[in-house]
Amino acid sequence: MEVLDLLKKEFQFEWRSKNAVQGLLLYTLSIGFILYSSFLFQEHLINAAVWSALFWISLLFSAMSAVVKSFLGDRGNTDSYYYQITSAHHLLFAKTFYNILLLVVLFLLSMVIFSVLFGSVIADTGLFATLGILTCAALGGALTLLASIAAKVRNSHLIMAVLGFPVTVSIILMAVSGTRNCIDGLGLDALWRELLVLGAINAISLAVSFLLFPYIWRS
Amino acid sequence: MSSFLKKFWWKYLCVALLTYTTVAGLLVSVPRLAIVNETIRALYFHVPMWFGMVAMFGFSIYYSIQYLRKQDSLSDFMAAEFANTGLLLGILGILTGMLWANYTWGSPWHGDPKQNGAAIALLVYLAYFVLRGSLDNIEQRARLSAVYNIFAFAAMIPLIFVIPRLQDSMHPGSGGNPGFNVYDLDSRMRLVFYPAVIGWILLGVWVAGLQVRARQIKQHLEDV
Repeated sequence: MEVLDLLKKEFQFEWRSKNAVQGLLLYTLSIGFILYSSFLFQEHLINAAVWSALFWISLLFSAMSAVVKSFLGDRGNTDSYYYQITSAHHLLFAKTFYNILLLVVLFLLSMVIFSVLFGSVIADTGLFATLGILTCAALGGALTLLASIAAKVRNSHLIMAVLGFPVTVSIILMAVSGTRNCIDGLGLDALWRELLVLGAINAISLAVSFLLFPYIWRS
Repeated sequence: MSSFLKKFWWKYLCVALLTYTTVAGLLVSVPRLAIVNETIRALYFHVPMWFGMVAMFGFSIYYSIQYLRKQDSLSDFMAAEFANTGLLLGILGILTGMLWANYTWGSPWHGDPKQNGAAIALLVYLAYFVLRGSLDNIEQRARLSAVYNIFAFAAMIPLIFVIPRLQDSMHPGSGGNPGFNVYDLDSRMRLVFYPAVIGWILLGVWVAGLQVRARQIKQHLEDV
C-alpha cells in the first residue's frame, strides 16, 4: 500500500513540474533526429545490426538522463522526512517501478521515432515488445540504485555515466543481439537465450539492490 | 627466527614459486603446436594474471561486505587496495595478452569476447576509483564505494561467466581451439602453471598488504 502511495507521489511530482518529462521527450527526439541526419542519403548502410545498435544506444543515453534525476529532486530536508515516514525498501520499489514505467514510455517513443525516420524493420513486434520490456526493467533496476549513489556526489550526471556504462553493457549486448533476431524474424527459438539472460540480470540486480539500498539510504 | 618464519613463510613461498615459474616457464620444454609454437609459454605468464585479478577482486568484494557489516576503516582500506592490485594485474593481463595476440592472431585487439569482458571489468574498477575520488566525506566514500563494488560485481556475473559461453572465443581451449587440457597429455605444463597461479596470488596479497599499511600510516599521521 505504502509503495502505491509513494508511486502516486512520483507521478504527482512529475506532473507538477512537467518540464523534466518534456525535456526527456525532446532529448529522445533529438537523438533520433541526429542519427537520422548522420545517415541521410546513406540509408542503405542501415542493416539489422546497425539499426539495433543505434536504437539501444540512443535509448541507453535517454535512460541515463531519465533515471539520474530520480533521487536529485529529493535533496535537502525531504530526504530525512521520507526516512521517518517510510522504509528504504518501499522507497526503492516505488522509485524502481516508476523508472521502469518511464523507460517503457521512452522505449515506445523511440520505437515510433525510429519507425518514422528509419522505416519499420521489426518483423516480430510481439517478441520485440517482450524484449523491450525486459530490457527496460533490467536498465531501470540497475540504474535506479546507481542514481541513488550518484545523487550523493557533486557531479551527479558525470558519475552516473561513469558508473552506469560498464554495469549496463551486458544488458545492452543482450538487447542488441535480440533485436537483430527480431528484425530477421527468427522467432522465439533464436531469442530465448537473450530473454533468459535478461530475466536473470533482472533477478540479480533487484535482489542485490534490495540488499544494498538500506546502506545508501542511511546517510 | 622460527616465529619470523612461521609468520612470513608465505612470502618465502611466493618468492620461491615465482622464481621457479620464471625459470621453468622459459626453459622447460613445451608441446609443439602449429601457429602457437613457443608463444604457448604465455600460459605461464598471461593466464595467472587473470587468476590473480579474479582473486584480488574477490577479496575486495569480501572486504566491502565486511565494511558494510562492521563500518571499520581497515576493511575499507583492504577493499580499496585489493581492487587496486586487481586492477594492476588486470592491466598486466591485457598487455601480455595483446603481445601474445599480436603474434598468434595477427593484431593486438581482436574483439574476442574474453578480451571485451576483461576490458569492461577494468572499466568497472576504474569507475570505482573515480567514485572514491569524488566523495570527500570519508565515511560516505567507504560506504558508497562498498555498495558499488558489490553491485558492479553482481552485474558483471552474466558478462564474464554467461555471455562468453554463448559466443565463440578464439582463445585456446574454447570455440574448437585446442587448450592445454586437450594436447597436454603428460601434464608437464600444469607443473609450472599451478605454481605460477599461486605465486601471483600470494604476490598480490603481499602488495595489497603493504599498500594498506602505507594507508594506515598516512591516516595516523593525519590524525596526529
